[in-house]
Amino acid sequence: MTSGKALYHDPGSNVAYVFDASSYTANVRIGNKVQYKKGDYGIMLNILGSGEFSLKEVYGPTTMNCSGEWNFNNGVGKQKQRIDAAFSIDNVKEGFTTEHLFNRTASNFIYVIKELRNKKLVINSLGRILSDTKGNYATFTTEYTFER
Amino acid sequence: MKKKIFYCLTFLIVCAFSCKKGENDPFISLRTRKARLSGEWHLASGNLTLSYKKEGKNDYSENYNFMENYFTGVNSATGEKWEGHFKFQISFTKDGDFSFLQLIGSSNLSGNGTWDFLKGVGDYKNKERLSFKSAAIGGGSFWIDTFNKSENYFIYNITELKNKKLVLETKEELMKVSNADSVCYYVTSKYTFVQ
Repeated sequence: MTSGKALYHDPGSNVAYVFDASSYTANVRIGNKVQYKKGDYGIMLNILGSGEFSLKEVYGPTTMNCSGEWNFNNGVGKQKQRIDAAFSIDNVKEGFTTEHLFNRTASNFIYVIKELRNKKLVINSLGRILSDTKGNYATFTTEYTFER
Repeated sequence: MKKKIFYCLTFLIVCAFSCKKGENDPFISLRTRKARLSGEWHLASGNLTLSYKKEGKNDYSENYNFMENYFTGVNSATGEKWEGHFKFQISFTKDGDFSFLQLIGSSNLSGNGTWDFLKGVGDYKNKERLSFKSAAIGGGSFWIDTFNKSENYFIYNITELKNKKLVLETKEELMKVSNADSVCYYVTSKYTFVQ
């Protein structure tokens, strides 16, 4: 991963992240208070033609090292085929799925492929990640650029 | 005549390989998988096991059985039991939209979004798996968001897809590894729908 950005939003707060190859900066707003945070950040993503992938994400003091399966979407109705890459984590060697960003805090997650070249990949994701019984929800939007 | 037989056999063989994706799919179907899936489905039966493992060992599990109008559940460690009303229906459109409604006990969960087949990669055949990308899911609490596996994006294996019958399965799928208690959560489920 060479660069990226992410935005978390819920009814009481939002966090805007900016990533470079080795660190993150974040503007955290909770109510009227704004905090600035920074720390280590990095992603190594290895996608194999056999349908497997491995992922290592460093986020501040935590690391998640996992592997699983990936797949393209087929394209039904309005959706184009092979525009989405669906990831399913099935093995976590280190860390927790619930506190990492690239996987959207989940074991199944999907990215839209914005740009795919021989040496460059740009993917993004959006949508809700949490909801409660009162109809409140949190959204999370990410975009990452990878280079070989 | 021999040519006709040859063409018929070729057609049947092509159909057999292109139609049968799930292990219990019909040998031959003249309707596409999208056409067979589209429509409104009601749950006829199902089961769900949520397993909690710590350091690779089974800590405990919750096992649910679903019938058309009723569910039962039991906690393997404490023996605690649950039962109540149950109803589940889901609809798919040919345009790629889905919506579902699940009533369990006194709670309900509804959701909508877009569905898609997944391509064949690795051991999976093309259109063997079904993915759900939710635009909105609401009404439930975390632990009873059973069909969506408590996630907004989720995947099922289609083990049977006939004109009037649909079976979706998940086998020992990792739901999450939690930082709160270092527990791995797995889900195994099977839902049989009829039209």
